[in-house]
Amino acid sequence: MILPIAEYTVKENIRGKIFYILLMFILVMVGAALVFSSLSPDTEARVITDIGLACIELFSFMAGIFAAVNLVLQEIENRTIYLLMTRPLHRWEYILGRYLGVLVILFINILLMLSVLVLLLKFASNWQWDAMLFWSVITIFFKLIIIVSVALTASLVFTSTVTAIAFSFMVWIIGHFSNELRILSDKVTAPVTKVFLSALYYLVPNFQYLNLKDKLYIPEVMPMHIIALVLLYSLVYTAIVLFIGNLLFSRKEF
Amino acid sequence: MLAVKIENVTKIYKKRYLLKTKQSIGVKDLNLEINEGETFGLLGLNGAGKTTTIKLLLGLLRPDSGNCFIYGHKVPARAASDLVGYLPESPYFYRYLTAQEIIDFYGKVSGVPDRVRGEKIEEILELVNLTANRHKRLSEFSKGMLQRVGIAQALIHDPKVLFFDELITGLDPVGITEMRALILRLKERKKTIILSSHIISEVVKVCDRVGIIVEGKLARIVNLADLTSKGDELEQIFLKLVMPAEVAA
Repeated sequence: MILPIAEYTVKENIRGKIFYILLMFILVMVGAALVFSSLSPDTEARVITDIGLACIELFSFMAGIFAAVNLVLQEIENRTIYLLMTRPLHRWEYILGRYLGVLVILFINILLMLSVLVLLLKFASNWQWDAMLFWSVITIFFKLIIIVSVALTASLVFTSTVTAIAFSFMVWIIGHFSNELRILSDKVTAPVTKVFLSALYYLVPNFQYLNLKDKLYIPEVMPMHIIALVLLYSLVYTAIVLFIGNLLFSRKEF
Repeated sequence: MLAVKIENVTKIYKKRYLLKTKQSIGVKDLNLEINEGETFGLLGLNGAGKTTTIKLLLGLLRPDSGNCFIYGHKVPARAASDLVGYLPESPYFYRYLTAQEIIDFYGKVSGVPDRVRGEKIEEILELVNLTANRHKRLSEFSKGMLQRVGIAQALIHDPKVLFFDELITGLDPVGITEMRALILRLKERKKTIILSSHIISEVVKVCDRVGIIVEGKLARIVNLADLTSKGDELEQIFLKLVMPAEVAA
């Protein structure tokens, strides 16, 4: 039953024009290529790569949390949730199907944006494929695996789109400063602040840990055990968050 | 054979605010039995407890006390879900899907096997008179057509019991006539139908029995075969039950 729900989510998002994000991405990237065309080819390629990766991450993050937060809330508002919850369907199947559907959409979106970036780099400069770009995109996808589950569960906790989006945004920001959070919690002496910062450090996902491109060794080979650890971290964190989300959803009345 | 049974069911809604909890009665000490093949109307004013009763039978709400059964299966249960079809009041279907796509989707999540689903969709589209518009997106549909899509999704897995909540609310006279004809066709197929409404004139045209709900309590069950002038008599009974004596006078 998970597959039809995921398929419906993909269809719903495609027809809901989620790929307009791709157009926005193309516009930004072409603009960037024009603005930085006066730089030397190597510098231009580096700048375009950086802007491209930042845009892929930002646009995918925005599309991901908006889609995830609205998955269940919109269906409650439209009353179509009644039609699904009265079917011979487990509630966890519904949650997992919706979650996977959003991930599929984001994956396609990222692939398309990456293709645009590669094409642009090829045309704009004498750029050669490098592993850093690949691992940077993989890192973005790992982060999305986690944040989409957080946004989905937040929507079930807060039952408010705005609050759930704000919460996910906060988690996203804090997750990028996990190491700083650790240092800070070591340095502060006030017990309450120490406990608070430590709790944040352990509860919020550590996105710095997922940064695969920093773990790339010369000559551009990614050690398998690092990929396995990062994958394991993302999946375990996601599984726990979705488990909590499902627990809340299974107790929900409509 | 009993299709539906409600046994001493009470549901209290609790709305939690920061410092206090507000309670309101959904239904109280409700007992009801509906036979297989019967068309049963739940009649009541807005907020009387009609939708609550239906939601309790579907497992969308959990009772505070008592139990609900569908063909002997205690709700909520997968076995009970297999046997029911539901159309809520004015659902907003995803507008970018076509009629066929949406019915196919609900068929899949209801566990209708691939090999028979296509055939089943054909049959249902024919029944609700949507064959010609099967590839149109729902955004192009009128309210009456959307209601027919709603019925189609409720029928795709061939359930024995159908729940229709305020089926004709907001429909024009043509839509109302279509819905009535559809219910009568489903009756011929021996489906058990439970429909809620506050429009007495429509209820008497399709129902065998009517339960009048007043402030969460089942005030009376009327067998329509026992009434001579169905509409007028039922209206009198209904008004006596829902209006305070002094207002009625």
